[in-house]
Amino acid sequence: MERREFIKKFAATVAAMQLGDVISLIPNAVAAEVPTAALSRLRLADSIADVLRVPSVCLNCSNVCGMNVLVKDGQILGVEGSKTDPNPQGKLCAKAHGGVSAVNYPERIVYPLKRVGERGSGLWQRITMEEAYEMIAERIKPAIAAGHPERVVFHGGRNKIGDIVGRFMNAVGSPVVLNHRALCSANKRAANLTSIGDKDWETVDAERCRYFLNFGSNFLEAHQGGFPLMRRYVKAKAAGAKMVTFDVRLSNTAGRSDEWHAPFPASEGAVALAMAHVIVNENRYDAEFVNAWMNVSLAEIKTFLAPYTPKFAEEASGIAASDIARIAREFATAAPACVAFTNRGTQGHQNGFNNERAVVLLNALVGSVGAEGGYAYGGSQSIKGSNFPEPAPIPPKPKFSTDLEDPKQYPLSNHWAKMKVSELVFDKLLKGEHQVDVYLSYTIAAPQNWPEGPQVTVAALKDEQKIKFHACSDVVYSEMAHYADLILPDATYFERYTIDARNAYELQPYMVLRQPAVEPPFDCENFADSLINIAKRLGPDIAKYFDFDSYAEFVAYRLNSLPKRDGLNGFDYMKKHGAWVWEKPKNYRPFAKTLSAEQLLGTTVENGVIYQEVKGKKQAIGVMQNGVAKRGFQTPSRKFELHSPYVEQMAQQLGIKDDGWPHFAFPESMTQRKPHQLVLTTFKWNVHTQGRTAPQKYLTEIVHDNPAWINRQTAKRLGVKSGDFVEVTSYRPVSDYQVHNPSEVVGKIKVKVVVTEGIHPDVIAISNSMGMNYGGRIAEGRNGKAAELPAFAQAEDADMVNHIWWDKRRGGAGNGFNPNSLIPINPSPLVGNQSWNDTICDVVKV
Amino acid sequence: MSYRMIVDTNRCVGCHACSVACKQEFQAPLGHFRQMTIYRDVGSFPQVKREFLPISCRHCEHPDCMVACKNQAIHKVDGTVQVDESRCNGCGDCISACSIGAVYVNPYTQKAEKCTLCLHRLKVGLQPACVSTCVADAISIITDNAPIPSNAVGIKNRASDTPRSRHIGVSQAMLDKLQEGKPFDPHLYEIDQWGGV
Repeated sequence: MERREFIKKFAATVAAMQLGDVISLIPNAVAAEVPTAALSRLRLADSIADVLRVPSVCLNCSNVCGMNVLVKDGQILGVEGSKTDPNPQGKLCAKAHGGVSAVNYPERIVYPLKRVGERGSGLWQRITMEEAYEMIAERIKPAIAAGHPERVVFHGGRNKIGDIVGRFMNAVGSPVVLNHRALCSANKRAANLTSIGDKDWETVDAERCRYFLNFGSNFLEAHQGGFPLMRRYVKAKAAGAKMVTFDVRLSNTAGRSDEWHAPFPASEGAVALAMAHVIVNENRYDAEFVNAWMNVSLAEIKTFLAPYTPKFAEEASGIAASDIARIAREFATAAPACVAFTNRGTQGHQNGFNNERAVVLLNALVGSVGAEGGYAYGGSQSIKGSNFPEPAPIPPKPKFSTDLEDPKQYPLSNHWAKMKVSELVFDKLLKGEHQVDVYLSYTIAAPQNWPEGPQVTVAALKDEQKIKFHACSDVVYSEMAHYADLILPDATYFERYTIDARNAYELQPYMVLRQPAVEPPFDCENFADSLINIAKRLGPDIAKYFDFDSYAEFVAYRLNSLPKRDGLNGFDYMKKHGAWVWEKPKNYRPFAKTLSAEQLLGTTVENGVIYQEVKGKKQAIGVMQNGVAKRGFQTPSRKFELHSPYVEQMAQQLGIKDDGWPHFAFPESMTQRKPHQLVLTTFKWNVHTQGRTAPQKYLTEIVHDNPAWINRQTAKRLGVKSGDFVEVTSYRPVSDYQVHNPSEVVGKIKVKVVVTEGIHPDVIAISNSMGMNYGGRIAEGRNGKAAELPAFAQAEDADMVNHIWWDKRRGGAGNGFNPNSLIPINPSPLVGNQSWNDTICDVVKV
Repeated sequence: MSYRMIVDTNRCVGCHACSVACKQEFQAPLGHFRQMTIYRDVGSFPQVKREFLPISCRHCEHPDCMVACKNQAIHKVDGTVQVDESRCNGCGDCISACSIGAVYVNPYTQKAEKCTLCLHRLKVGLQPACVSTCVADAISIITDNAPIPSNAVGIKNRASDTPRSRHIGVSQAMLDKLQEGKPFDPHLYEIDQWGGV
C-alpha cells in the first residue's frame, strides 16, 4: 500500500486517533470555512463566584510566579495572582493568563506517537505508553551494556524536574545532561561568580533603589526574574527613582526610562569602565568598601582604569563623554541605593563576560553591593537535594565527563556551576565528536531557538547515524517533536508537580509548589513520571533507585522533610498554601557578617583568608578584617575580585590573551565591519517565551509577526519603507570558535522591515519566538478546520477555524521570521556564552 | 454604589496582562477586544520614548451607544454601561455611535459586547480582571464620591462625549489612533502601527 493512503485526507486531530492509526502532522492547506459553532466552553466571567482555587506556579516563562488556578467542573477557566508567593505580590503578566489556552489546544499531543517513514517526514502511528516505555528502555540498555552510558543524552530547557532527571541520568551512568544556559545567561553568571562568588545573579533591592543604571536588560518585558523586579521598580519609580537605560534598541524598558542611550553594540563595557574612571578620579567611591572588600588596591584600580576615559568610551560607543560622566556622578550620588545591572544586551557578545564584570564593578566602587536599595544578591532558597533530601538509595554521579557537556575549551562554563556550552552540541554531533544512541529531549525547541538551528540543529537531528534514537516529550507538535522517533505526550504545567524557587526579591528565602489543577488528559503524562516508568524497565541495578510509584510521591518525600506547619506536613502544607517563606532578616551585606566561634572551629588562616578542611580539601570560608573573622565573598580571596587570578590562569593555559582584569576590547568582527554593514541583534517580546508560547492564541494575537527593525536613516539609505522586504546576508565571526574568513556566509533570508526611530542606525533587530514551522494553527498563523474527526475536549475552537486574522492568506501579517539561520554558533571565550548580538550583515532592498 | 475606572498611563508598562486577562475572562473571539493596550513611539532618534494606552469602554455618563440602541438593550448600572443580551439583536448601531470603538458584535452569538467593568467581579468583592492583575497598579476602580486624581481627565474623541472613566497622561496623538464608529482594530497591535515614522 502506498504511504499516502495511510494519511488521512485532512489534518486530523490527534485525540481522535485509534491505536495503530497513522496521521500526518505537518501543515497542509485545508480550506478555511465559515465558522458555525459557537464556543461551548465555560467562561470565567460566568463562574467567578464558585471556582475552585488551586495554588500553583506558572511556568510560561522563567519567572515562575505563584498563581491560583481557577477550576470549575474539571476545566481550567483562568488564573489569578497568588498572595502567598512573596515574589509577584499577587500579580501576573500576560503570559501567565495566556498559558491557559495550552491545556485545551486542539493540536495538543495526547497519545504517544511512533515515527513511521523517514525522520522528519511527519508521519506518526499511535502506540501505547507501555510500548513507548519499552521502546526507550530497549534503546538505553545496550548503551549501558556496551560500557557507553554517555551515549545516552538528556537535553532539556527550563523544565523544573532537574531532581528526577539528574537521578535518572546518574542511575544510567551518563554525565551528558545538556541545557540551554550558554544561550542565555552564562556570561552574566560567570561575571557574578568571578566578582562576588554568587551562583545566581543579582537580586536588585528595587523597591528601595533610587537609581537604576541599566545596561541591556529589558526587565519590563523579558528579564529572568523580571516580573518581581518590575513590580518593585514601579513602586520605586512612583517614589521618584530614576532609570537610565543603555540598549541598542528601544525596548519597552528603554522606552519608559528617564533616559535612553543607544550605544554601538558590544561597547557597554567601555561605557561602564569610563563611569568607573569618573567615580574613582573624582573621589566619588566608597572608601570603606574599596579598602576593606576589594582584592586590589585603589592605586591598582586607578592604573587599570586610566585608559578608559569618558572620551575613550565616547569613541567606542557613540555616547557623549559628558553624558557618561554626568550619569556616573548621578549614580554615585544616589549610592548606596543605586544599582548597575545587565542582561542579554550586554552579555550576548564575544566580550560579554568583561562587559558584565565592568558593570558589576560600578556597584563595588560606590558600595552598593549587598546594600539596602542596591546590588543585593543571595538570600534565595536552594531546592537541591542537600536541602530537601531525596529517597534513598541515591545513585552516585558518574565519575567522568565528556567534551559535549563539559567542553574543556570553555573552563569557566563549568567551574562553579554546570552551565555547559550547549550551542556547540549539534555542531559537535555533526562532526562526529560524540556518538548519541539515545537522545531524550524536553522543553527545548532547538531547531527554532539555536544559532544556525534551521541548518545545523536540523541536520544533526535528521541524521540517524549521529543520533540513533530520539524521544521527545512535548505538549504540542513542536519543532523538536517533528524530528523525533517517538513523541511522549507531556502534561502541561497546569497538570504536574514540581518544587520551585528563584531569586527572592524580598531577600528572604522562599519556595513554591507547582501542582496539578486538573489531571493530564488522555495518555498525557508528566515527563518526570515517564522517566520513572522507563527507569523501572532498565533492570534491577537502575530500578532500585526508583522504588516509588510516581513523581508526586517523590516530591512529597522531599517536601515532608520540612517541619510541620499549621499541623500539616510539608507536602500537605504546600498543596494548601502553595508557598513556604522562611522568616529571616533581609539578606543585606552578607559578606560583612561575622563568623561565629562555632564556624571557626578547626579553621586555619593564611594571608588573611580563613580555611576549613572539608573532605580532605582546603576550602576558604571567610576573611580576617581588622582582626575580626568575616564571611566575605564566596571568591577564592573572599573579597570582591576585580582582578581574577583564576581567569588569568585559565586564559594562560588556553593560550588566550587575558590578564584577569575586565579590560574592554571590541569583538574582532565589529572592528572589521564595513561602514555600510549592520550588526544583527535579537530580542524577546513581553508576550512570548522563545519556542514555547507561539501556540497560545491570546498571546500570539498580540505578537505574531516580527519584521526587522531598522532606523529611519538606515531605511533612507537602503531606499525602503515599513512593509518592504530586504535580503539579509550574515557572515561568520573572524575570531574565536573556528576562525573564519570574514566573507564566509552563514545565512541569507528575506525579511520584512519596520522603520523606526527606536534603534541604533548601525543595527538591525529581528526578534526570536516567531516564524514557527510547526505548533498548530495558531503558531503557524493559518485558519482551517480540524476536519472530519471530533476534536480534543469534544469541541473545535472556532477561533482557529476562521478568526486567525493575521493569516497571510487573508492579507494578514503572517507568523513572522526566524532569525537563527543568520546567527552563527559563536561562543564567547572562556565562558562559552552564545554571542547573539555580534553578527555582521549586509542588508539590501529586495 | 457607583464605580469609576482610573487609568494612569504614566505607570503602565505596556505588558498586555490586562488585555489577556480580559480575553481569558470573557473568551472574546480573536480579532475582537473589550480592552486593548496600544503603543506609540514619540520623538526622533536618539530622543525617543514609548507611550502606552490601556483602553476600554469609558462608561459614559450619557452614553451615545445607549441612545443609539433601538431595542433599549443598553442601560446604566451603578455608574457602568451594560448590554442586556436578551434585548440585543446584533444590529451594530452601538458600534457606530461610540467615538472610540469600544463595542463589537460577537460573531458567534451576534450580541454586542464591551467592557462591563467586571461588574460580576465587583459584586463578589473582587477587582476587575484587568485591575487585579496589573503589575504597575496603573488601573484602579474608585467608588461613589471618592476623590478623582486632579490630573485625571475623561478621554474625548468627540466634544459631546461624557466619559466617566478618567485617564492620566494620554497624548492627543495617542488618542488620534482611536477610530470613531469602528470596533477596536486588531491591527493596532502590529508594530508598524506604533507610529513614530
